[in-house]
Amino acid sequence: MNSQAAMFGELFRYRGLLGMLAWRDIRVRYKQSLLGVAWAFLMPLIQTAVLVLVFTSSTALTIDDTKLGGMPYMLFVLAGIIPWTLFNATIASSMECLTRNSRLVTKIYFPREVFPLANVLGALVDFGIALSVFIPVYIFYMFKPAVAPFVQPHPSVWLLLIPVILFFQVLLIAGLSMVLSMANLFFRDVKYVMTFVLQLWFFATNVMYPLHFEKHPWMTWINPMIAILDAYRDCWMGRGLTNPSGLLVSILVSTIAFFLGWRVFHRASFKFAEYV
Amino acid sequence: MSDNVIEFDHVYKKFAMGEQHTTLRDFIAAGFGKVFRSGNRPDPAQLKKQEFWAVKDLSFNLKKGESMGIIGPNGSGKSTTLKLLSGILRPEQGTYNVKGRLSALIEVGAGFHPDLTGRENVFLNGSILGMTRKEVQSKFANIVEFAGVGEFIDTPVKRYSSGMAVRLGFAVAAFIEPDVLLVDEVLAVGDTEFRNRCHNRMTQMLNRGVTMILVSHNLEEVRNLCDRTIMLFKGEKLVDGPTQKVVEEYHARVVEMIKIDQATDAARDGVAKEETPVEVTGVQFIDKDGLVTDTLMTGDPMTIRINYHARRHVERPQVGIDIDWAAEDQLATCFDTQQDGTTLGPIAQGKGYIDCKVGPMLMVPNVYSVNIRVLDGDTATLLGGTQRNRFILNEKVVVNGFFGLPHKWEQSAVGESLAAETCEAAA
Repeated sequence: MNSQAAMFGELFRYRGLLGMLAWRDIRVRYKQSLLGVAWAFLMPLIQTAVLVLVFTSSTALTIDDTKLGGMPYMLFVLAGIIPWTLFNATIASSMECLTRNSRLVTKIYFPREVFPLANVLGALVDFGIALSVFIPVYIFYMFKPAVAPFVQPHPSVWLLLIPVILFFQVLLIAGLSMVLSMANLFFRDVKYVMTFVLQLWFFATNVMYPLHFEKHPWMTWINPMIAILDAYRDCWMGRGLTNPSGLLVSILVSTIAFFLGWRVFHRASFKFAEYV
Repeated sequence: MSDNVIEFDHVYKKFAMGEQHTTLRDFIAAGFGKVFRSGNRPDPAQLKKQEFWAVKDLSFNLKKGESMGIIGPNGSGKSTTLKLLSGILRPEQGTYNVKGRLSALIEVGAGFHPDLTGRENVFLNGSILGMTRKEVQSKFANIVEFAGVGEFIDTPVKRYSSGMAVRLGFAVAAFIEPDVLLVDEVLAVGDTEFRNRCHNRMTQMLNRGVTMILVSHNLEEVRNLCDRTIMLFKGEKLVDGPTQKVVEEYHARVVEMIKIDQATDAARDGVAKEETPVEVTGVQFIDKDGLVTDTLMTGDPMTIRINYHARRHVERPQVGIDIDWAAEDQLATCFDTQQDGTTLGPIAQGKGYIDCKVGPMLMVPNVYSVNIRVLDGDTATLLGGTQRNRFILNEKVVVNGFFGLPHKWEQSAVGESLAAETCEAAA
């Protein structure tokens, strides 16, 4: 559609600003914090450590190792928690990206999309840092002899699919970010609702345990994050996709979420200055 | 038609008064119906309950290189007009068109982040205002010099004085090279030297052929920079013409408006008049020749005479006077007897007056409004008062900025050595 092209064109002209705002967010985040960049990789490590500790030492609560698809539990959790953190943290911080910048929203014109999108861009940097923690762990398990039912992950051509999965995950995040940042501008309690929703979402996603719906495979379609996390793990293990239909649906949902979210956001953006 | 850089054609913009639904809970409570009843959407040209026109049927055109001022009291739609022009707001009706690169000095430094250094903020703000990184780079030295922040450029902006932050903000904005420049009250801050620098910069831009719209409460500034001015009142254009004429008209209108306000106040007071212990029956302004007037001159003294009717004896009265800029309802200055350490004698029951003699009035020419309070000094309770007694201050002595300071120049005598003087002082 023509207006879609116009939206792209305008955003492209403001790409410099998009980069600057993302840079600002990152810079401010790490400038006056004690641990600085360490936060980005300590968080997933600590979370993983706690989960591993709980699931390996508690006798009342155990993970069925055969359902992990041969993936050592530690690797399983880490491979899930890093993309989940990207999803969770970006959406949570997007909630306030318009209200926090209310002075800019009411005073200066530029496409409002840059706020949520810069927020996503900044979060991707954190994702990159967290990934640098994952790689050594991954390499460790590559060489550690595995006992059945576990297998050693082996890098293969499937690794090339990871950026593609990431791309669609980012589309999903960006779409949701735009809608939710807008919603929170009009209704300030959206962020409280979303804190709750994101917590539920975490439990409904295969981050700390595998989720298989053998009887009702369509159930993975409800939550696009399930197939995305599965696909990441499949690619790391180099074993081919275990849930291709689910991934396809996720890609579709993400793409629709992005364009629909952008559209809605763009339409409403001329009201922002009046309501913020 | 085609040589117009800005065209504003019968533009309407409305705002809603009062509380909006700002939480989901309220919104749900108010019923989803409103949003989803899109079938018979209300006519945008009609005002609903609690809505008002912030801008109503506004039209104007500007040719390349023209500069136009917009004046009017608070809430007259000046800033809304700028926001419509810059694209932040969309009008309900009407069309507008701006040709070329538009830049708005609507609030300088709006994009500053306190935790970032001056340097980082210059780049950030530059990109917010639509400059590329390269452009900022090439003008960086000029920007820093213009702002006069010097060695503080690598210090976080939160450690800047507010003046420094504003100067840096303006400096970034001053080096954009737009075709159309929108200016909103940016020069109300900074010292005279910096204001002059800004002034020169704007004049330079005008000479280069920039088309400019300036919104200001400072009529002097409008007079200096704009050939043409429009005056807005409640969103509508009242006057459009050469700046000098419009400014004169503006003064007259403000006086008129206040008269209407006073009349409504009086009418309201007449209905719901509470008997106050001390009724202020009138305020008179007396000029240097002892004549009662409402037009005074800068540099002249004035006496404010407060006529009262006391219904009871007040042992220790206290009197306070506020002087406001009438159009903006903003406090210009105030004083009261307690602060001054003046003890007024007791007020006896009956009529009388209290005079406050004000020294040379070194304030910027404008319409001022005076509020009076009479208090009981023992209990600090309000006994009576009156509001919105206006006087016009016209220019006799030149006052730059908001007010003048009494000052005197001195110089060492011819041949006298400064060193000798300081030695003496030390001894």
